[in-house]
Amino acid sequence: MPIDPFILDSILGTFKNMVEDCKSKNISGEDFDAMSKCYDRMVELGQSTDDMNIFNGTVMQENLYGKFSDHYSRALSAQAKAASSSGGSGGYDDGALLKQNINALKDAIKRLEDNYNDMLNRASSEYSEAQNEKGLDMLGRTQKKIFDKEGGFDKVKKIIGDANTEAKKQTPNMFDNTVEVEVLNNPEPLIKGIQKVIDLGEQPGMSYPSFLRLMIETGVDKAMEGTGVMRKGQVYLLEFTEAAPSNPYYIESAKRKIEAFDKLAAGNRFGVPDMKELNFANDDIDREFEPQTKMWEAIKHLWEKMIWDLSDWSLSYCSFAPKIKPWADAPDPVEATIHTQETSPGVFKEYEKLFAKYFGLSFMDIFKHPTFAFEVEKSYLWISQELMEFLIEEVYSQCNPFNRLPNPIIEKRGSFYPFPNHNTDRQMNPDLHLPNWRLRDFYNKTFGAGRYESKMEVAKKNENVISAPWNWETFKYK
Amino acid sequence: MTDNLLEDYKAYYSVRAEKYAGNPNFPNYYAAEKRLSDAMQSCHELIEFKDKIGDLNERCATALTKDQYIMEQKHFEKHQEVVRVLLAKRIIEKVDSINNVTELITMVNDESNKNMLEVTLDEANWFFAYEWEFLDMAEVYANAVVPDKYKQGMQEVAAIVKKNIAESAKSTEAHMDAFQKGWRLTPDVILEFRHRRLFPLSDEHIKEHLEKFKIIINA
Repeated sequence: MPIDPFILDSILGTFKNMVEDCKSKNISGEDFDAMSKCYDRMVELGQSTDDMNIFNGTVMQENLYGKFSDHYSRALSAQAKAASSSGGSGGYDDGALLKQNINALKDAIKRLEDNYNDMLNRASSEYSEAQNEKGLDMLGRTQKKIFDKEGGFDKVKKIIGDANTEAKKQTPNMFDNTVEVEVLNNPEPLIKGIQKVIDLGEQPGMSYPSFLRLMIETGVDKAMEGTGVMRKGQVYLLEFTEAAPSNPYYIESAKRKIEAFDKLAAGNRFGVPDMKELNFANDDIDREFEPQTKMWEAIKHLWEKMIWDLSDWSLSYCSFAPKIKPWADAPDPVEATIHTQETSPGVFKEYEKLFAKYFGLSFMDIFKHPTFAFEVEKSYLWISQELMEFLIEEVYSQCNPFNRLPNPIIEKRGSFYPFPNHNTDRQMNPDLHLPNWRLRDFYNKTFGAGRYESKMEVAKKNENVISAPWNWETFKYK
Repeated sequence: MTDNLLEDYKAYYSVRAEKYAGNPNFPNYYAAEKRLSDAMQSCHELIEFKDKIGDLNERCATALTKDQYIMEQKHFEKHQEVVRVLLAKRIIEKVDSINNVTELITMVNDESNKNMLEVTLDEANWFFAYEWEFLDMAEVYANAVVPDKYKQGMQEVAAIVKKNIAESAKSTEAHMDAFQKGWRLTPDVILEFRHRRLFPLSDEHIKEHLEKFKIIINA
């Protein structure tokens, strides 16, 4: 079975266009034949297997993308050489050389504008929705059995379509990214820079070598590599990371990359950093922070699990536990609560041992660790301060194999959970909506007021949660 | 006009050379550009440059490539990236024998693809980082102290998790077989710095886990 056309066309489309482009320019010869052969081989591979892994592995082993690109460059270059050698008597023609280069810059502007318009088109709601539909149809073709279980593909497709129509009433721009492309990818600043050079080149009396010199001196040669755009991207990354950081190192790393850019730019005679030097500087920064980030994530992951287990274990004793998730979903909810009561302390203690073994940290060290303070500060921690303190003070010491949680503690634990009244939740952090609000504010500042709300649902403050917000000053275990 | 053009070219080649003057990362490129500029500066008439240029322009391209890959070699040696650094080493070895830009591009593309394959195969061993948590989970369930009634169930969970790790290992090897026939996971490679840095744990704990991984994936 071949790879589905929806996927294969998106991979081979660019190569197909390049072959067609050569044909339209009457490019022929050894290199054109070789690049066509590479393309034919890619098509053949795509028809011979539906396994993307085999396709990618074979393409890489045979270096088909690299060979295609190599022969394509040679074919174009041969055509350019032929055109320039047939253009005149072979003597030096400064005006012709200048014109050729200015035309190349004008073509570059045209390409930038075409690419931008293409990006805008692809970012439109119509295009995105059409692509989504094609992707869904592909799933219908390749995963028919799964859809049959749900009443058939057409039924599922209609349900998804209806859900999207309904969602679009609230968030009309949910599939539209044109504003984002306009803000992040508008080539206007780049075009202005190139136009300045064209204008210089078209000044009366301008010679070809002076024009080339000005290109270097104004940094346009480097700007065309996208170096300037890269800094803008790094600033965007910093602002995004500040709005939604998963740890403090990402913020520091993003700041350092901007500093590295500016330092390299300052050290360059024309104020534009060398791309290779910049890439290595950025890689140095990533590698410097990587071990700390990995450590941060590993520590957080373990204590999150421990806190969750402690909460779950104590909750499983409550009389209403069989009526709530996860136990309510079990074939025998009562037996499921007993299973949690009997086995969770053993699991909890093993994770506690791992925490000590890997990081030399005890349960009480969690609350002194910067990972915990960070999660509280950013309102990422799901648990309320009062439940956290209750778990530390009354539950932790009880959570031992073969031990049963005493009744007075079970009663207190039950009082945190909103059962049977949904509007009495004291176990959740009441500020869990704040990370989303920060992200919304950043998004609207970057892409325009109301843009976030027009694309995505904004988290609401949960009015059923009546616990007090976290107050780090009063948290005595820090 | 001819005199002005000559002066314009002298200024252009001078700026080209000075662009990387004093940059310690581009000594070969600067020297090549300087040779090209000197050839131009020595001309009394523009026509002389036709003979003097020879392959100096092409040499600038190879010198720039050489400097860039010397920089890359230093960068990856500093980070003990013994597989990624192979690309720079091979290009530096070959670059001086090339004096044609088209051949240079072909050589760099071929070597880049070759190295991309080497890196893909090497980094497929990050399997052990991705599966670490599951091995922990298997150990936790196997060792958890629980009433007799639940012991068998806990051991069964541990066995299922280990079985999933073994299946995931087989699936990774099958996946990589498309990139290199007969490729196998090599747990000990994780102890080498480029992979070791991804594990925020002591050598002792990594070695202990690797032995357990070996038993599971070879069972």
